Amino acid sequence: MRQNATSRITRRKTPPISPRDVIALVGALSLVIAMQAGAFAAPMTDKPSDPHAALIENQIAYLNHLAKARTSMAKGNADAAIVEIEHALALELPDTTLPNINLATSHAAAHYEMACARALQGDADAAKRSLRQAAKNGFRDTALVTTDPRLSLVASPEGFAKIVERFPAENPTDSFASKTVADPQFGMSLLQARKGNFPKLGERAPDFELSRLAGSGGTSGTDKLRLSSLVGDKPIVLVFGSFT
Amino acid sequence: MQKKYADDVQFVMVYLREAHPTDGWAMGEASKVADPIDLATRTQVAARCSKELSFDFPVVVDTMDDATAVRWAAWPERLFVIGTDGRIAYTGDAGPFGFNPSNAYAGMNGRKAGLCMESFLDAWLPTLESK
Repeated sequence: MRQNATSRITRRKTPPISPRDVIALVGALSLVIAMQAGAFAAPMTDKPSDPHAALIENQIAYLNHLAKARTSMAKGNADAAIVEIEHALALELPDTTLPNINLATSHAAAHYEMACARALQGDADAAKRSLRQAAKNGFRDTALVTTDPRLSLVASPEGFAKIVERFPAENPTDSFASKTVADPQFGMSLLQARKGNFPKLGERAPDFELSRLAGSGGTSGTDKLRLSSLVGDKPIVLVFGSFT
Repeated sequence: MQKKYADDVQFVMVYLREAHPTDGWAMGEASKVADPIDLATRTQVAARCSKELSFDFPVVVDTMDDATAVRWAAWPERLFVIGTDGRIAYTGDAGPFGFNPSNAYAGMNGRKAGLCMESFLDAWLPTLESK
């Protein structure tokens, strides 16, 4: 069968090349050359709107590694978790560019995860060393330390909490680090949104419905406020923030 | 203050997760409270903030999953202006360094709106400067 098929192929008469084929071939070659020369690279206007987007990429990678590490630990695979954490620790993170998403001091979060991974391995000393490093770098979440079941495998929660508490309060601290440990999805979502997925000029404002503070704005009682219900009468200055 | 400009612009504050709680990234005296762990506590802190800063406009409280903060990429602080057509008229940068209410003037058409921003500056900036 195979020989017959080959024979049929070799017997097939090669069609003549038409001028149209030549034009198509030249066109295709030009396209390949142009692509190789970068003629179709993204135009400058496609740059991310956040000037720190490149740095944010690293931070997203950092959180990704930590999330994978936590997943591995949840499956009982401390070795795989440690590989991910080492990747996270190797990432260069900006120190001051994004002061409120400062993961540089919070390699602390990675050190904390390393403490948990070492605890899962049953290595109490290594776990304490990593936790000490996390605290030195700014990790402050004693509440998390005392409730994290991973750490309780090798020592009392109070003992770990004391390690964290030994570092003076005036050391640089990073709530975002703690938050990303407790809820990596929050950090990931926030960074990705900040990377450029926030409402842009001219776009329709994303709606929300949230609990309204009792008495705020002259109302009595607590109720819900839907943003879209306010649209139309006058411009809305939407202020996001907190007390601290 | 807000009443003075209430005819021109509607202020709404969305109260978010604490930026500098005492149990987190503490910043001296600016860190007045611990990071609330439930919505009731966050609402209490928002009420205290609203009272101490004399906010005279609606304050809504983000849910504990921080869904609105994430959707608007607004944490720790950010300012937007929404036009009467429901579209974004001004997008401020994320705070603290990108939080510049005076820039919002460019997104507002008319002097009255600008005055409103000035009043907002009077109320809000001292709290930021204290951080």
